[in-house]
Amino acid sequence: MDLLQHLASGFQVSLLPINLLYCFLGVLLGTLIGVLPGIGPTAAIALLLPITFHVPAVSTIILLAGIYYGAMYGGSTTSILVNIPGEAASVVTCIDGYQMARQGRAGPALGISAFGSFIGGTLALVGLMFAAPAMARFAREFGAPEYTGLVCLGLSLLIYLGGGSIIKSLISALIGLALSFVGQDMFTGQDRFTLGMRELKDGIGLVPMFMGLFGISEVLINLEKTIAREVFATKIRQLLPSREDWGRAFPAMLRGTGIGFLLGVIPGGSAVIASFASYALEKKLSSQPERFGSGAIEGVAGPETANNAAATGAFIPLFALGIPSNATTAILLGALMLHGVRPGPMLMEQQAGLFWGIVASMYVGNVILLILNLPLIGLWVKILKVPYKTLFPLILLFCVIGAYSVEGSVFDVGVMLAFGVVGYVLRKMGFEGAPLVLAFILGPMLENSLRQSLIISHGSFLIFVQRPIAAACLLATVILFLTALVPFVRRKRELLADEA
Amino acid sequence: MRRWDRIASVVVLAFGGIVAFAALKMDLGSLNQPGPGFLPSGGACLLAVLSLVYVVLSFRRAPDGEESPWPKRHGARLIAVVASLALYCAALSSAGYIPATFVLMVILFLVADPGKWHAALVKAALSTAITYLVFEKLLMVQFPAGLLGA
Repeated sequence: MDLLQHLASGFQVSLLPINLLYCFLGVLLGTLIGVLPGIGPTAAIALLLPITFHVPAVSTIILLAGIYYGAMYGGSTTSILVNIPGEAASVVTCIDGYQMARQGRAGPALGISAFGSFIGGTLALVGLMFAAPAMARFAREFGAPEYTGLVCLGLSLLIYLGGGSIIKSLISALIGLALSFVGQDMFTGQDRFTLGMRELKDGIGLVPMFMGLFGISEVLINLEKTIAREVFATKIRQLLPSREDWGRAFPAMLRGTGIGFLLGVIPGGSAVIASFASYALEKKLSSQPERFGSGAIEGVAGPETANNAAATGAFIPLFALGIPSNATTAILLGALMLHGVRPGPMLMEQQAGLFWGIVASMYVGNVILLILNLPLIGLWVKILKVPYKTLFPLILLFCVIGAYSVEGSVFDVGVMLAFGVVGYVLRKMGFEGAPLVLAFILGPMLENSLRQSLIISHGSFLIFVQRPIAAACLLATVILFLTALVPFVRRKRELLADEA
Repeated sequence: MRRWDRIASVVVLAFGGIVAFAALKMDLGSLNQPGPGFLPSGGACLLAVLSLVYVVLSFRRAPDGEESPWPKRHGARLIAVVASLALYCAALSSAGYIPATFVLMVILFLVADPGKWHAALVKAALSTAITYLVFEKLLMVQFPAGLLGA
């Protein structure tokens, strides 16, 4: 009953005209970003952060969250029509989606991916409503040692599940941690690593750093390649899938929701992994696995449902623990912090309106997306024809203005450019950006809780063993890294990374 | 790639060394009362150790044709974009938003479509004017006035 009351109050917030407008803008922009190859939701959210400074916190997150899950809807359009994924979580949709388009079934492919996205997003929201408050109640008993353990486990899971080399991801995380130390020490006020620069006293700016690492570096990477976009020349008709299509796709959607939701909650278990896992499961369960790769509708429905469910599931650790599970939610955490909101176990009590307002807005957003997506497919196809060479100078100009406008500082534009080059080099060398960003965001929490724990225990590290939750988290962290050394697990991880 | 992995590991090692050196000069405190240099020095030492592991692993890995991660084509395009943005940062305060942004956009549009001067000039003028009107006049962002403000 409480839940329904909370949800009703959430709808009162989300249905305010201003919040409806932000929700609409968010999902519209998200779909556009999902449609356009060359700019992902993480970069887009980083680019839009400065604009949200004058907007209330709840409207900001409604807008930015809308971009995140909206991009999951939009990504499938390019995968199906152009065989180029609009964003990483739609890579797997190319396999069967494009084949369906080639067989003249682009309409049902687009339709089923929109319905799948809606079902995955909406069912995962129901899960979010139950799981986030339960997790927050559990986390209320947490003290400094538990947070130390949780941060370590969160980072390790991200590194472990994120694919790629564990050593490189660990190095990435430690670089992020080192960067989080720049500025004044929170206990003593002493300057650290500021190089005598006044501008660095408050630390490295979140916005210019994120815009550089994700916005500028993405443009630089895209400048290297020529993206050929040949939109499939077919008349898109009959968007509503047939009864037979539904019969094949619906069970895949339900399984996709389950996998996506669970993988979304786990740090590192991103929408990308969820979509691959769903595809692999559908192929394994199918009585005709040979159909996969030549236009099986389950190969579109499952992954498209899973990536939306994962995007929604990722909000649970963010809201309940204040621990983001991927780069995009790390930026959302940054956005909340910039507005003076500290997500964590007390958020749902102290800022119930904000939390339930955002949850309700996601229901609204999913409905808007379903309504928007199907009739606007023709428009998205037209937008797909805008060449990247016209877009990139404008994206760069937008980055420059965004970085400058936060503090009115040219120094921040320089910081953004420097991180753009660093991000480009790291990506070229195979270093993951997500552990760096997560460690940068969680660095102060880790340092604070570690130092507090040692003060409480009078310098004894045994406190992390004596407190069961902290001990369990740290033990899980150690086990994760040890299992990564087992040859079989290592090979499996490398295989998954190659596929992703 | 192996060669580049080694170079990267040396860069990371140097970075870890610098952070550790600077952190060790701070007050480390004690285990009872950790100081501002406590976690940075620990983190930097761990970073240095990992970069050494990275060096060792890059030597143990089988050569993979020494494929370079850097672009063979479009390299000049990348350098032009980064250099023009760096010059823009240096010139923004003194030149002001309108002249600096106009020049930057001309360069970027020329990088996108080499030789098409007319189109670049028109697109640069339009993008500079529109962003100036929207951000400075409508959203009250105070851009540096520079030459035009004198």
